[in-house]
Amino acid sequence: MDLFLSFLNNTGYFLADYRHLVMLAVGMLFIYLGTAKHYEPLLLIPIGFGIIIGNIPFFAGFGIGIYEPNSVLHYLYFGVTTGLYPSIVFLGLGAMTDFSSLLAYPRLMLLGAAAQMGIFITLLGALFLGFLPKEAASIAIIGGADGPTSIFLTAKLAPHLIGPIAIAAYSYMALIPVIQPPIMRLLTTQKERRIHMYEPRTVSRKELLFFPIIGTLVCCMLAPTSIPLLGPFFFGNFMKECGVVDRLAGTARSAIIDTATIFLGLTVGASTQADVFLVPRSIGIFALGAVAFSIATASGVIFAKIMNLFMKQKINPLLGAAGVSAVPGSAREVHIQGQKADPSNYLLMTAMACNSSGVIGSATCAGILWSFMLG
Amino acid sequence: MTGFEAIAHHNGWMMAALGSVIVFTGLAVLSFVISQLPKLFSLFEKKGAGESSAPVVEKVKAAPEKTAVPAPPLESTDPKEIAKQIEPLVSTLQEPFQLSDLYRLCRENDLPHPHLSLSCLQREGFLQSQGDGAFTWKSIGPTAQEG
Repeated sequence: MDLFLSFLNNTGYFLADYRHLVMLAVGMLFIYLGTAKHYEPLLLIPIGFGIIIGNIPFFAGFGIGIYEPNSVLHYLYFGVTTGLYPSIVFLGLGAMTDFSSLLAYPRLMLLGAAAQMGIFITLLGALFLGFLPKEAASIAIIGGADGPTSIFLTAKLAPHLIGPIAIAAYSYMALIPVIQPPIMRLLTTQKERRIHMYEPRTVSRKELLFFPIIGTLVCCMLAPTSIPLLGPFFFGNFMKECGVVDRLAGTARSAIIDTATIFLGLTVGASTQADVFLVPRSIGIFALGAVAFSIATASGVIFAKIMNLFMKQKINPLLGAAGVSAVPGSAREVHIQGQKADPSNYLLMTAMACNSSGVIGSATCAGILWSFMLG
Repeated sequence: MTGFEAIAHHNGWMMAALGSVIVFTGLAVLSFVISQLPKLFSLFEKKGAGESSAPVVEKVKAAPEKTAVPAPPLESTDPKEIAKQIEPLVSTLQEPFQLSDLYRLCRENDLPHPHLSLSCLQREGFLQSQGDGAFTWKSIGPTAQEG
């Protein structure tokens, strides 16, 4: 009987308190959103399941939890804390990305830069609320709407905040269809949303081949601390475009990125243990994340409108919202909003150009912020 | 420490301003460079075409016995001259024709640098794309000269 009671005392049912239940409910909500609503299922399902795994209560000291040395989850989490998984994800992302739209519309790259304003304004907001500079920089990068970049920078600057920041970043990426459309509609007129983009010029293979090399030289030279993200990103893209290592490029954009995504999502989810995650500070991070993401969207749209004041060939200001690097969610949303205004308006490929630029921009911002904190 | 005092204390204003300027500058430079790439490549291609055409002429002159049928003198860089040489070949094709068919004809007729010549004609508007790799010919009449 004693053995049975002792076993009962060690079960999760006995050890659970309200915080665990809250986090288990959050995990299930993520799984529901990913499965039933199709909101970024590739991200939300591993994270959601990770939240459930990480919040099953257990007796500390058995090497089970993600924060306990020698546990399997702890070893898997190593890829997050060292920034390994984000680099691998960027490699696969590069091998997937087609830059032909961006090369056809080079000026749209500026929208990717404008949307990064959310990062720097949120940096000020986080400092205002009393976060330390390294924490503020990690929170601010949520405005880039790039999960791997957020995790990478937080792992380097404020590892104790990885859980809330990663969950906030991925949540807002999944909530693009909810967050972005009202901002887009608020800042644009129906006439502006109807603007058709001009025909793209033909992009030669040589340009596609040279772009990753030029991109590496320009961006990595500017912020060498962005090398761990942009180096693999442009390398992956070069493998795709050079046409002589198709096997490697194929593996990078399938098995490698999938493996990294699984472990990244699962361990980030598991890192949200109730006692670490359910603290007042997490609420501040979530609030600032929402502000960052909204400002990023708004600054992209406003900058597109400013560009239209000086350009003969007008661009659709909705494209500014795709300047955040949430690929391809924000591009898809821009396309949907454009089609709602005018069903014959196809903005998807053009929006993907802004998205690609946003990926480069947010990784560069991460490098810049890291450089500032080193000083 | 909180509020504006915290921002000032941690050099926040400077970080935000400088960070924005750096990322804008970086992407603006990248944008400018990629917008100039086509011009740069066409410059190199023209230069390469100019350099590669000279030895071909010399080779033909040095070994005239090998060319039983003399190759048409398509060494000119004038698009109208090139068009004059290629127009008879185009007339044997049914419009719209595939560029690959015209390219094959050029090669079969020993026209030098068919790829560069066809690129030039496409650029000058003699070859007009109809989509899906199909092209039509704009003849060397007054309309071509206008273009």
